[in-house]
Amino acid sequence: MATPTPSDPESISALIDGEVPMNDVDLLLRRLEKDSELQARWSRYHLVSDVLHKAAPPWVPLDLANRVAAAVDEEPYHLVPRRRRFTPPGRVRQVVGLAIAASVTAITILTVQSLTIPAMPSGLHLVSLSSHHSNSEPASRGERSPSREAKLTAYLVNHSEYLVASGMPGALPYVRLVGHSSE
Amino acid sequence: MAVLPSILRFAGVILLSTTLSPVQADSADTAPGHWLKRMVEARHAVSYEGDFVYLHDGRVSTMHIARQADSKGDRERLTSLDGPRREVVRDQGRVICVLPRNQELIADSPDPVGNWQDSLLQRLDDLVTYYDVLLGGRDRVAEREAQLLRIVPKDHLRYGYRLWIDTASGLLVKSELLGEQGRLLEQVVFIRLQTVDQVPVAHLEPSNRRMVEHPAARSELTPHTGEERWKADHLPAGFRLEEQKYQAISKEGPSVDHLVFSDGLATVSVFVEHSPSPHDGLEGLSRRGAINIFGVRHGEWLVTAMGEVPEETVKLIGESISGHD
Repeated sequence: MATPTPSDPESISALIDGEVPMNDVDLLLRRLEKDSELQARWSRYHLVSDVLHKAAPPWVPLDLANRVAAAVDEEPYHLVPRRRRFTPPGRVRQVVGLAIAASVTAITILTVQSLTIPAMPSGLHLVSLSSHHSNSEPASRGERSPSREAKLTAYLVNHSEYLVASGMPGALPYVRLVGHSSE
Repeated sequence: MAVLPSILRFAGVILLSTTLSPVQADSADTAPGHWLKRMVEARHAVSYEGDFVYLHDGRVSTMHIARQADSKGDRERLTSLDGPRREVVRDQGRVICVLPRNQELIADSPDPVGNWQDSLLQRLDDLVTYYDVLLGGRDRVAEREAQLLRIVPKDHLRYGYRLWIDTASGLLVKSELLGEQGRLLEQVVFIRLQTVDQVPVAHLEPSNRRMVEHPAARSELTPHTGEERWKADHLPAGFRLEEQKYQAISKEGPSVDHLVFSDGLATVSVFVEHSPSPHDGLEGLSRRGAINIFGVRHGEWLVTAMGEVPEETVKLIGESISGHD
């Protein structure tokens, strides 16, 4: 596997997976401290990992806070990755673990701040509609034209009306229209 | 930071394990049907605002919802709090969507659901044929006491649910959609919920008034009475045709047939449109969130089936559609 560079978004995934060479860890951690995008990615990856693999609730702040606390108090290197491809000597491993724990502490605070829910918005201002990639997974064959995509959305709206009316499931069917975000 | 203790408390309690036990339907409080009924009824009786997290496909979205339920009907606005601007406003029969990629849609449906209203309650008895409905323990979600209900499918043709229902209001405060072997497909968790008598009107209106005043963006969903031209030959067990409409899906586009199938819990919509052009992008399997979509062509007709059911189910239903003789 090619070594991810600190500027590569995959580097965070690699760090979590223990695939970043020792020499690059420090550089990546410094980058992580300064780069809000990488911090957000770090949070997302942990969240995804926790929720999808362990079916834990999507609460990064507490989860990370608990991990950090446990790491600092007991075994800091446990923060580093479930799948290690290298095993540094104990002393180095502990230092790296503490460094990551410290970084995560900072990130946790930032994450909590980013998850702070604003007061009831009294007037949400519509910004210009931005354009990102498709809201849906690609069809198995053929490309969807904008008109087809719009038609699919219309279908989904109509389908959602039945879900709303039926009382199930989740009572929030439009979440799937609104919440299918692009990253 | 005032929000931190709140989040920590919330997260702490939500991590508590919950013991599920088979239903002993002696009293109202221990009957799953009682809680499902409360959940459905609360939609028409309780107004609220809240923030919740939606998790799907490894993605996380935070959203705000304001919902007013009163004698004038149900109105609500759902707004994304992160990522590209996305918003859905429902005002009785009208649905306004503002989505990425400049997708704007206004859908009007004077009678969007016909006799479908609260069909879950109408078919409660059917549920136990295809699902085990189990009462779980009490939990806390969004700093509210919640009753857990677990709905487990008896075959692989439908999904399962875990529902947390606010004991005070009956509102659904957390839900999980579960795939095969209990795999988590989708999760909605409220992190703040406030019931109110009256949601401020401004919180229920589209944030962009142009959407209301811009007729070009309008997509009319006006149902027409039409003959039943399509039928399903081989439906998965438990599913039946609940409703069939023939309606314009867009102002310029052709009318389509819309068939709605349900097993009492899961709902699958089938749209049939005249589409002479082959390979127009909707054929085969695809999905949007937990909604699986299957398109199949019958000559010049394109059948699109979609629903919160496994791929196999949406495919079975889509392929079973044929024209009436």
